[in-house]
Amino acid sequence: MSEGGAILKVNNLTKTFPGGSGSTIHAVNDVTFEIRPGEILGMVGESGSGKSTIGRAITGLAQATSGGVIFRGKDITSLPEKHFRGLRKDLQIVFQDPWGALNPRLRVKTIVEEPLRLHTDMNSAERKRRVSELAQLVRLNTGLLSRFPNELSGGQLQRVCIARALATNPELIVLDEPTSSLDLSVRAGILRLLLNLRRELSISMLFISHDLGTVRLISDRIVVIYLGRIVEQGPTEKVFKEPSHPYTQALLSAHLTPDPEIGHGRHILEGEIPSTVHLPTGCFFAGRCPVGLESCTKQSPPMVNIDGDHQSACLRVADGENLLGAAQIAAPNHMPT
Amino acid sequence: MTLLEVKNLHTHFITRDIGNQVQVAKALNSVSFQVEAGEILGLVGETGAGKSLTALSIMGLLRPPAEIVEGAISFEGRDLVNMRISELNKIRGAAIAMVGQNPRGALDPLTRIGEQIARVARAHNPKLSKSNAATMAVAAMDRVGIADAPARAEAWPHELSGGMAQRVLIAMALINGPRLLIADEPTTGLDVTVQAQILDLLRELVQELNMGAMIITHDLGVVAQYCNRTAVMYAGRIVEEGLTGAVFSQPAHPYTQALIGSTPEKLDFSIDLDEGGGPPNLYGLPPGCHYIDRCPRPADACVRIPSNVAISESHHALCHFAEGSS
Repeated sequence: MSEGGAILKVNNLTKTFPGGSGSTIHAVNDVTFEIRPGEILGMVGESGSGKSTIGRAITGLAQATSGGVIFRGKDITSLPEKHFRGLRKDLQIVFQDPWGALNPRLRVKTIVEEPLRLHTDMNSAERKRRVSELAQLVRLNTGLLSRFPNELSGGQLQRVCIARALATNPELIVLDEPTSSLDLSVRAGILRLLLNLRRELSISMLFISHDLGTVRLISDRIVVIYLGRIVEQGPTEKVFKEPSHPYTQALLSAHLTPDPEIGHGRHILEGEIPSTVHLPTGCFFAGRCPVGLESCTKQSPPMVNIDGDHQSACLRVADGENLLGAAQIAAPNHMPT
Repeated sequence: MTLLEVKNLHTHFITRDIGNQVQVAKALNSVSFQVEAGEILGLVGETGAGKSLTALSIMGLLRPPAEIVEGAISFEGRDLVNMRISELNKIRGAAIAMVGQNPRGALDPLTRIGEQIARVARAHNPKLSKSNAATMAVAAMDRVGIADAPARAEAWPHELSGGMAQRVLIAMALINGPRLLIADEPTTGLDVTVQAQILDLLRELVQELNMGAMIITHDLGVVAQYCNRTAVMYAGRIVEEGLTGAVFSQPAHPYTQALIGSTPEKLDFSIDLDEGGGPPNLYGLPPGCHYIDRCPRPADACVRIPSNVAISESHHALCHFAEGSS
């Protein structure tokens, strides 16, 4: 897919929030990426890395402090709510907590129908048909449509949220941790659904998650975020197999594969994520980076191309010292079998 | 002697409904397992399977209407079920320690953390002076990898990150030299890099102190990477148990197979637990196999309670159709 074909472009997006006692929280710092038609872009990072804020800024639920969001070639960054509403039909979001995302006083069918009332000129019979079509699409028993949200399980509720988001045939859906609050088997059902939907409808998705296994399964490309800044991006398998940024390497090595045979060595990270109020200078990861240099704390590393689509923001890529070596690896898991 | 032996444990919630009819929710149904010194047992299952309730039953922390109606729990050969509270209080918090999930919620917000750890030491050893207890607390904090422990001992709970709070709880659990550590979802809600640090610490402590440990989790990754043995729970029963390598490479129970096939790494498109409905109602469990309604290959025999089939010497499954590997 060509560069110009992006459905969404995020350019130098920055978002700050006022903190306590006059301080400023730097949630998102100069983030640039794009989503291409029909693509699922995964966004991974630990809590507080600004993933959700980016999702909210894209969908107009948070105002960007600076930078721009371009949707289908149109700058929607500071669009007044009145004008944004017209866009919502093409730009939808699914939240993490399905219990909190649905109006408890409306029946499921009314919830799913609402976007059709707002954004289409379908008549009542057409809307009704579309609602049951959507229920089938998300594999929700149509008998549940006349129930209230409190009568449904978490997995069923998340299917309702997805049906609602799909109702108006959007071009882009932001999925903000859609499976994180669900039990394992229910989560698997939602993942199967999303993978099927992707085959059936070619919708672009931004899939935000902290779960590496899920992101790897579902995304075409991924973006890795640390302290509100992109440290690495590229095709999913490339990034998982040959992570370039030291943070990505450490993050991936900490992922626990549900297979005792694949017990691998782990890159130990000292300390915890720095505060978003007092951002470090230079590379945000420099203070914890096993291969960091003095110069890393002074200048912000630019995104450099590694290989085609694969990019990493690390100064040490230039001298090839970005890869964490054996010295930084913890003792491999020794599972007695 | 076995460190912890749970045998045929039945914990039920016994209530009366509006019509004064007795209602029994059979939350644990004949749970049996052992934990030996120096090993980590992973107890894995989904919400409501009875994992935490098993831990609470062992710790004697059940509140009405939950009660143990049958079964034995023996710790170093001593029966915990019928033990007097005063005796039990000498054991829990000392020889048996527990670390819960939501570490920040488990700390007293109005007490400095060093003081909280010291309290646990003094509760089990009243002769210990306050200053000695404080020194012990700092040493324990140091042991669990809290940098600059003397200064951090003066911190308030709200000043700690989730990972740091969990280290504090582990320090608290260690202070009286436990021989059994029960960790209930110790890393749920923590970020992956922090999760790995906490689990590394737990494993290191188990080996160094030759403790027995039980990790309760819904995360198969945690079990696969950190537990020597795995017990899979479903609707109040352990449906499969064995060495972790064997359970993951040759899962014998259909539920274990489905659970492994639900992980993103091994997502199986041919099974969908969700569409088969949720776990059974504990007030009206099926008489035989609890998994019968969701099982992809139920048979006539499944209306009878399955017996524990040995797959190998150290691996069994509660399924009529499980087969030995021989």
